[in-house]
Amino acid sequence: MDDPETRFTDLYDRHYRAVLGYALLRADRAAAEDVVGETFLIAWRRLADLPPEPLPWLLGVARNLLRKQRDSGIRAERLLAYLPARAAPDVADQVTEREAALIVLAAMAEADAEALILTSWYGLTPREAAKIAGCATGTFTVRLHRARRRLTEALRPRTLQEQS
Amino acid sequence: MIDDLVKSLRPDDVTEESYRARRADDLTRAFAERPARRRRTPLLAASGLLAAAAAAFVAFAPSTTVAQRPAPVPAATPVLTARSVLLAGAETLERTPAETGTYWHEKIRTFTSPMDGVVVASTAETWYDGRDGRIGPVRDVATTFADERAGKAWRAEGKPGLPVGAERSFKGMVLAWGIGTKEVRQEDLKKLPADRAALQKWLDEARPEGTGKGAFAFAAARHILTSPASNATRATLLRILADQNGLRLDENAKDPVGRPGLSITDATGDHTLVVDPATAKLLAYVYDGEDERPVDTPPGTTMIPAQKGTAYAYLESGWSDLPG
Repeated sequence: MDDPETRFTDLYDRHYRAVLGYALLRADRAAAEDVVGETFLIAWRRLADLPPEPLPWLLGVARNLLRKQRDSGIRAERLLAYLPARAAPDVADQVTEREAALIVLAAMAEADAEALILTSWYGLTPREAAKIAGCATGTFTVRLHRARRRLTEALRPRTLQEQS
Repeated sequence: MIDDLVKSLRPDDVTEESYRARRADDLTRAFAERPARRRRTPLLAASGLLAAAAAAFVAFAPSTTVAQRPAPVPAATPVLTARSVLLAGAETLERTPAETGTYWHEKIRTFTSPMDGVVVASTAETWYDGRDGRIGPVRDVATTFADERAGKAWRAEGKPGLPVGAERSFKGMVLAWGIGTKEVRQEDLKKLPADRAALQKWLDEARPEGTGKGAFAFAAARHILTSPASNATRATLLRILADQNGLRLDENAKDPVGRPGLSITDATGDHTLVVDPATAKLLAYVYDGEDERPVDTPPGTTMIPAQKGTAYAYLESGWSDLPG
């Protein structure tokens, strides 16, 4: 078996970005980076005990560390600042749509937004994601559907009749 | 597809940049600490129906009647160490006459954390003679929240983790407890060897593969010290524990119901026994393995007082007859 240093380095290389992405939802960049550093330090101490698929575990640890912060809610302005650039002909349209999506996400119940983000960003199953969110799988699924519906409705192109 | 849109919001640019900037420092910081620890003993849940209550039998020394109370261990020895506390407890047990009674009775206050920032406490009582028994009603349920948000979340989830249970009697029920790979019944516990080599052999047989000897002895101690094993067996186990490396002693500890005592924590930091130094009686067992079930019981859960994980406070225990 690989030595602990190699295993840990591999863990870090594979998951740092994912855990930071999640932390950035709830903290500004410097604080988020510190939380992720702390998360991996805990992972190093517990390396022998990590589950075979460690990402949900890492996200769970990060979430708990983030909860200790003041003002750890999901904020639209925070997300807007990190919006990745996309090289595409219709850049302007895409950015507008993504900005709109971010604002809708930030405005909805935090648990709902988190459900959608955990699922789409990391491809977690509802069961894995529910554990991170600290709720039952059924509850999580309800949140996820609600978030999808709300976002879909908010972004749906409106007809003239609806607008008037 | 809405999910694809949300996925496009993932801040990949920032995370990539940060990954490059932080990697060297983060790895260096981790490797400066001692290497990852060995795998800890999984805490095996009781497989009997008494579940939580079953895991929490009696104490170093039973304290039923004044006549049987052991002579107090001198509380203020010049230099207390975890080792000296455990050895003193062993001596106390060896001086304690065996108790008699039909039913093993215990009254335990259990603290669990069903969600982040939520602690549920409740008190339960059981009587069991190896076949028949009685379970008292769950009493004094109390819920504590780390903050308002935790309370709200807990209520929104339908208040998970609240213990329920009415008083009931049962007959002809076999309860077994998992200790490592062994399934142990009350009669097995009574027959555990008191000879050190024999007890060590029993522990070695029960120890799951890949588990350290010391860590497993400590995990098993939680079950055996709180069971109707003989005083001689429990004394021997304390001597085995006393020889473990890396034990930590806190002379000013309090158990989860606020009783002062000495706490001894094993080398992994996961298992803590809180002992009354005057009687060598076990006040509480606290499990602090925050990553044992990493997602079910994540770190950051709040325990009372300031403990993580699950705790059992042994309020009463010993042999008795069925009440009324």
